[in-house]
Amino acid sequence: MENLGIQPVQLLTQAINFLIMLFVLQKLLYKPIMKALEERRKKIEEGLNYTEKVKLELEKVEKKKGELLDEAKKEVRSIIEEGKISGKKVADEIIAKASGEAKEIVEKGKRDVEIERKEMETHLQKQMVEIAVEVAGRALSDVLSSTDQKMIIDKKLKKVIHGMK
Amino acid sequence: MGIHISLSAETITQIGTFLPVTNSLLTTWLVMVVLTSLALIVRSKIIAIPGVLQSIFEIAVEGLFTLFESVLGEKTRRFYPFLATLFFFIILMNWVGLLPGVGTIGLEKITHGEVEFIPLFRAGTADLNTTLALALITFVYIEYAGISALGLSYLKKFFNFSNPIYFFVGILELISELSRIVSYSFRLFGNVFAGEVLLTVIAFFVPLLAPLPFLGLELFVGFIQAMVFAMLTAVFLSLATVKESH
Repeated sequence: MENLGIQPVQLLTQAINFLIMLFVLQKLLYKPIMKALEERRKKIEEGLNYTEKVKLELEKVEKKKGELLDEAKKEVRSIIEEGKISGKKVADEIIAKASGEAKEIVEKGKRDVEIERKEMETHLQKQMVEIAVEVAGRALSDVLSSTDQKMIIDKKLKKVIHGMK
Repeated sequence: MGIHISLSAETITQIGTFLPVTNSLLTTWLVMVVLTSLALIVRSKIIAIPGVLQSIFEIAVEGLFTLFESVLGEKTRRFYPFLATLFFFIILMNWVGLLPGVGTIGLEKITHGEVEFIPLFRAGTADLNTTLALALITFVYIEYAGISALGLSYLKKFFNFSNPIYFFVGILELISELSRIVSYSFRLFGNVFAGEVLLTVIAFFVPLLAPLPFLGLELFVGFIQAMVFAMLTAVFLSLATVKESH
């Protein structure tokens, strides 16, 4: 024992040294570091959980967005369809109305032309009679009396008008 | 000047009349101061996002924990401080012997007209007092853990009179248990001391470059011996706290 250098006092001192170290490290190193590690682990876990949650939420939102978009598209399509149909209806109505009006206008125009034509005819007749009377009067003033003249001209004119018709 | 090799630690001075301060004791105190201040520094600024020092200690503390967990399972939390302290204390005492100046800086003492060189520092574990103290504490701790886990039935492992075979097995168990003290202390002391001697000899013959690979080797040995000490203790603890099944 002497040769190996073992001394009871030294032995005891070193044992005490170890126990001191045990106490000090336990207080200063293991506890705080374990606590820090535990806290970090918890934090990371929380973070991961949160990420998972957010991911799920995002998926939900994305799905909903898709659904809404589809719905909106459908609605838009139906609105367009409706618009097309009602537009066609209106167009048809307008066309029908316009064609009716056009017919009416044409009809009216025809009627007006007819009336004018008749007026013109009577007017012309009158003028022709006057001219004929005038001509006949000048030519026949010496031969026939004015009443005879008128009678003959009327007869002739009637024949002419009859021929014209 | 020849090679200075001494199996035992030399006394440098004396505190009071009862405590001779050897060079290994002085070095042990230095190691304690270093370890304590490191722990203080780490503790003073523990933050969520760790710096370099905190990271190193976190890796060490957590790595040791998972390592011991592989042996002890759920009992790790209870035994961890003891095991980790063994590891940190021993590894630093092993490595401090590799620092330049340890074993070479010293005093000269004249005894009986002869000049004797006494190094000021000596690796703590290169002194049998240290390793034996650690071995004794570990032994006591293991027995204590066994008794507190299993009660008095733990002692049945050693003293069993129910059957002559068990009685002799118990004696064998007791001897093997006690021999752990010797194997613990001499394994650690032998490895570290041999390493120091090797380095001293190499450095004496080829002072330049040649000791470098051996320094690396001794770094490794220092780590391995600390690991072995702590791991063996973990294994013995797990054996002592498990109910024996016959």
